[in-house]
Amino acid sequence: MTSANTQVNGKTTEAGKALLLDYAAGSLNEALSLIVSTHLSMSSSSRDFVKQCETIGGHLLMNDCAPETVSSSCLQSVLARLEGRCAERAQECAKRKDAEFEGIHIPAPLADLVPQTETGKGCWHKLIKGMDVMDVMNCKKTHSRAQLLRMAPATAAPSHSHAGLEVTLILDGAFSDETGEYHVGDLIVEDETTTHTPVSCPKQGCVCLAVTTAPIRLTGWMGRLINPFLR
Amino acid sequence: MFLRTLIDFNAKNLIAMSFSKLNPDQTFGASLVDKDGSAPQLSIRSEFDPLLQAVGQKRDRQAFIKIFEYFAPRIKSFLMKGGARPDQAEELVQETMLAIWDRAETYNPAASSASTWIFTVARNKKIDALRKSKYHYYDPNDGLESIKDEGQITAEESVVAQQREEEIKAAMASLPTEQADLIRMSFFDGMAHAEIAAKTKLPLGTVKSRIRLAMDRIRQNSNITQDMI
Repeated sequence: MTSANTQVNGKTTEAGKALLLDYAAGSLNEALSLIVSTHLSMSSSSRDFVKQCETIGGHLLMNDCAPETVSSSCLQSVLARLEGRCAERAQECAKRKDAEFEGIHIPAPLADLVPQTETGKGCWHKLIKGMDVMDVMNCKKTHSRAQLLRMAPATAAPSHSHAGLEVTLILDGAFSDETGEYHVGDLIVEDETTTHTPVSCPKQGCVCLAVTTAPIRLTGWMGRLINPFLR
Repeated sequence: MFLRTLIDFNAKNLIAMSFSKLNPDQTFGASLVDKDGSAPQLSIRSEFDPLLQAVGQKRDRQAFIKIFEYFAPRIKSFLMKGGARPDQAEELVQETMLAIWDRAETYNPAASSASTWIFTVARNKKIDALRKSKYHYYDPNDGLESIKDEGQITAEESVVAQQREEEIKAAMASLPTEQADLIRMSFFDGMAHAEIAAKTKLPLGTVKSRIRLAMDRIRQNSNITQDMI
């Protein structure tokens, strides 16, 4: 199995960097944390940026954080729990593996979450012609949802705007929209202020992970008919 | 070269000032000043770096207890500001400390300071626990290639990592209050950009641009010093 880490260097935008900072601080909900951590597996420049942010966090934790009293039993119970712990084993358990799914490299943070049938096929549902969708995570509390989207070559997604954030990570292939062309590992952030019409690569099509923090709004006439089914 | 010395000098003074202002009770600030009282030696390196190494390599319990005593109350504070109740926070402090014990072997002082490493472990526990779900963070130990990356840090990478730590510390100290406050809110009040905007009643665009300015400044700082070498 190949690791994408060394071959892919995904890019992101300024809006993406705001998200990376929030991730480094631990402030994102689980769907957004999922997509950012998956992007980090695919982008050494974003890893560097997050590392910078974590250094700020470490500095603040050590030098700029008013300590809270910890109960006296806390240390004792931690020490008691150290007995018999085998570090190597704990480390082994924590190690996660990348996966291969329908010929696509799936980085470790996402690997366990892709629902598959017994025959190893994905649980795709048709959204429109040339475009399938698969639910990966749906968190009602935060109204956020992570889905895999699969677009056949040269498919245009319905033009849409967003009530909240829409964050997209390309796992395979490429797509372009009004703002440019995006490739494997790229993290694209859209918000309330943007409307876009992504079109998948004419040769490879596109598979991406998309997280929305509110239902998207389709803006075309046909889209308005489909809107109720996206909620 | 002169410029770099000047920048370093100012940064050291600023940091020494911020230490004395923010941490009247903290003894580690003393390590900023040489024993003979000469010019302060700036280092984000702390006595916790060798302590954390001792935990990783020798399973040193005394070192672990020292780390606990300094960091546990601060990790608890970080978690409570992020929304955890005191009892939840304490449970998470325990989990974080156990993870520090379990994973200390992977700590590489050439790659980061102990404080950065410990922050990352606590942050990952926070992501896991407050979201009631597991593993939505990136782990450099994932996959085979990245383990190799982590294990084989070149001397050059190590210098870059140390510089990054020092420069960020310097840059944080020199940020205008309004920018530093927003960075602090990001990290310690556990607020995403949108929540900060709601709390400070600043427009979201202003929050974003101030945080971006702060981050740019921090990055610029590292560019300046790297070019000077």
